[in-house]
Amino acid sequence: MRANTQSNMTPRFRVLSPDQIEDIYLAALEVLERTGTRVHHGEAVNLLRQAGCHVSDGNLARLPSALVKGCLQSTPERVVIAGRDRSRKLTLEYNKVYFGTGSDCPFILDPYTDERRRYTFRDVYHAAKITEALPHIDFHMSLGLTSDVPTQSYDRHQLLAMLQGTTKPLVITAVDGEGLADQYQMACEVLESKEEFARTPLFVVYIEPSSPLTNTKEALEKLLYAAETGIPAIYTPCPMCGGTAPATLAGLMVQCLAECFTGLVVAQLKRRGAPIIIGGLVSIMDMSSTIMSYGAPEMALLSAGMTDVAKWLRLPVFSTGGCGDAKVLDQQAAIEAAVSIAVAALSGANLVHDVGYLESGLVGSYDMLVMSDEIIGMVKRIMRGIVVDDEHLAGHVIDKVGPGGNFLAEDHTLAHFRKEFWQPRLIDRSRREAWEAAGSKTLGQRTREKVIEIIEDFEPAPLPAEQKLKAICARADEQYSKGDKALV
Amino acid sequence: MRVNQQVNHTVQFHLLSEEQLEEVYRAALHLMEYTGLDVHNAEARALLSGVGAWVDGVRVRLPSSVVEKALGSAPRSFTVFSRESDSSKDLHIGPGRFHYGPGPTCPNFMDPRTGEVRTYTRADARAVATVCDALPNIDFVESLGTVSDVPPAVGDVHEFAEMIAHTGKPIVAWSYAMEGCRDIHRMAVAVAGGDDASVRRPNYIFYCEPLSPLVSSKEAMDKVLYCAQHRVPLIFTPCVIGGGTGPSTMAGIIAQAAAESWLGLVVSQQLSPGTPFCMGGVVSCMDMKTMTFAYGAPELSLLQAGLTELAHYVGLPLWTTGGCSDSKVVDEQAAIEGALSVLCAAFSGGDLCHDLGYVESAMTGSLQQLVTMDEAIGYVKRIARGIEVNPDTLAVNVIDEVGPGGNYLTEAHTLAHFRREFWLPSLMDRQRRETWEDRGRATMGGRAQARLTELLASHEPTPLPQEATDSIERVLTAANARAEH
Repeated sequence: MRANTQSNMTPRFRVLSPDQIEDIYLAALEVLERTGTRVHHGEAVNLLRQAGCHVSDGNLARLPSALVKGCLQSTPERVVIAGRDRSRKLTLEYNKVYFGTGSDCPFILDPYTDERRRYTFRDVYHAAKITEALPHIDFHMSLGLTSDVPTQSYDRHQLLAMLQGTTKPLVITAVDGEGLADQYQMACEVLESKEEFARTPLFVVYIEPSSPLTNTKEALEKLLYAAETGIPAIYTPCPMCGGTAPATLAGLMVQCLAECFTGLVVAQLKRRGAPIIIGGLVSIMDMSSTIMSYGAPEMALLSAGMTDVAKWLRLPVFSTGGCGDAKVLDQQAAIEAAVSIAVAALSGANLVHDVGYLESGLVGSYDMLVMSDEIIGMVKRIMRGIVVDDEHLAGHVIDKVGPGGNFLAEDHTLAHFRKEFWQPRLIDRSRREAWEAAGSKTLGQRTREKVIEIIEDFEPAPLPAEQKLKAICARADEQYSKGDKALV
Repeated sequence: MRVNQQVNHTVQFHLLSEEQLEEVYRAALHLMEYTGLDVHNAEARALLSGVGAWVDGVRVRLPSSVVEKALGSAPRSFTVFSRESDSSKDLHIGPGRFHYGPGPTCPNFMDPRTGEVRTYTRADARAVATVCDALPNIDFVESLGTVSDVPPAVGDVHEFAEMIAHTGKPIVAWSYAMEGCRDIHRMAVAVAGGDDASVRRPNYIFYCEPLSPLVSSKEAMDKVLYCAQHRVPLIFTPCVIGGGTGPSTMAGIIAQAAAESWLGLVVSQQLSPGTPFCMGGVVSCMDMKTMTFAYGAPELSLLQAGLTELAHYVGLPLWTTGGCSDSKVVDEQAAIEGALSVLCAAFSGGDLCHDLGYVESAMTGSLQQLVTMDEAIGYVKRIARGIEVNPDTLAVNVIDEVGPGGNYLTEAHTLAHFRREFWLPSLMDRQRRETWEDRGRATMGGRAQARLTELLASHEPTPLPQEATDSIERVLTAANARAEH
């Protein structure tokens, strides 16, 4: 029996001190009050004006700090998302970490031919199946952009493909407010009622303001619909240092936070208590290629910094990891995925998305997704930390075995190794002869075999109400083909 | 100005709480006092007996007070100097500083040009030293192999001779036996410019190992005594295999490794108080399917971070491990395992992180892996540096000036800051696909190989003065003659 002992159950990690966080928070309030933000939606402008914002030039809103503070207070500190089976799978709250894919990559590297081509409905369905089969992927985004369906209503088809492939909670994208309304209806069909959706939301909607400090009509229309109906919303920008945000990391965080706060305020003004998730896809512009880097160390650092801020604000946070700038699955992709996943896990981010992205977000890669699943397993072992107590210090065992002895046959070893040692699935530790006998395969090759195995052999649970969902998709296709946009 | 500000200058990572560290520390002391260690060296036993250890046959039990006294006299910080008098290559060991380098004694070597796995030669020691000399994130040098093309007994001596001639960075040396240990010291002294100069500005660290669990051989203790007598900075590092030569529980592995390393500490400090001593431990789990020591396991990263924290808690630097892999080739697995352990070493502040370049669970040394890890270190260092927060970096004025919908690319603020804020990759590729395809669609493995080939062809380390070269030749001639007898 011990007294007054405090243990670290997991490693503790942080980027910013509380004073630094406060600096960034106050600077974000200053930006909203002084510089303001563009709000391209009439109802949103009206809500802001009525709440005391100064609106000039028709849509440039300046938000008083007191308004932001009040809205922060009414935003829930936790959001629960459920799967198709209505189990409350993700509790997005302080320091709880979940990993998932990203959405809407235009290209796939075909797992059979390695050809780089457009994503189809079937590819998006396969991506969902892969998520369903992987133990460490907790939520799903489409990975690919469904390109073989009508452009204006692709989002409904994409949701259908995802629902067919996985029962895990989803993060969806929507073309506009109508697209979101249709998908909400689809989710309610699956769950059988709106009440069920309210109790166990099937998805979160991802909405993106434009950096710097601009909120498009479509983004706000989706946000207002989500707030009104109670769909949890991620309202996060993709600022890049040196392009759409200051080159300094702290400056990017200030602007990013101001952009998140705009959505948070509009949502709270629409309906107090509307669930909002902040964060962002935060990285640098690569100065030689001018791309937004998905593999920069600054991305991991900025994401962990934003998580520090969100945790301080007691808000759920949307973060990034498991992605890279590599064009193919290689050593670079491996380093980018490993480091970003480790840092995201250490930071305590709630929704770590974009697992599976290659080529700076242009390619949604099954290989990267499956390899990252193994990395997440490894990182989780590190995150479990070290248990320090008499049993684990094992003084009695070391004394019994004694100098020069062997621990292999000890009961203590047998009793503990399964819990203490992580068991790899794709990582190989065999001796060279055994590895050669198995075909001298690299991790990339073993990963590809796993991908094919899941695509060909894994059968997801059948989707209820599938015909009704298809009817909603068909209705949307038809409306757009007539050029009739008046839906809801 | 804002007052009462506390900032994180780097990211903050902590694995064990102070009370957990105290508990592991006490567990290690307990092992030393009650279980004891077998010391197969009469001189060392006599020395220990003289300071209050209980000796029964080869078993030595050390009261805590003896260990605590040794901990009190060992320095937390010391410097190992570049033979080139280039202060940027000096190894400053101390709180908050972490360094990287390769590992020793792999039986096989991945040919740095063809990738074929074969035995290791003298020329390879030269290649490893040359490449380490050129790589920006490699701070100290080990050989990644055991020389096979000279008489076996003097492979260690030839290895050191090649290395010190081809790098200006501090070397971590090892030897088979005492003759090699003495020869290496003679060469290092010749390069340093004499015995006094070598004591005041040592240019190498000597590395030796106890055996787990809780045994020190005669040879290992002879080396510890020799280094203490000559004030050579010493690394005394066990290799605890969880589930094999140590318990399967992480806390127990750390406690045992500490007890094993601290035996060397006590002997060295007793003989020569204040001699630089680096606590060690290569600690991981045994893969239960293949019975190999898992160099790529997440448990290695975790255990090394725990051991690092314990070392710092008792005021010692740690010889830690990372950048190594169980993969047979430098593939995605080698990159994942290497990157994670390099990251954990940086976050925990592991003073000297070695074994970069090991693949196949230390059976094969690979410069391809080392070059890849050099890039991973640069990457990780950018994260470890953290986020700078001040009025200039917060950029409120710049945000106001650019305004909603604007662009920062042409701002003076961007130009003034991006070089410091953004890490510049050299092997990681961020080009658009067309450019990448035009340049030959190389993977990072291909680019690392190209860089390695280029470094081997172009890098010229600063040569040794003729006098030192002559001294080294004399030592080698004598060693070769000894080997023939």
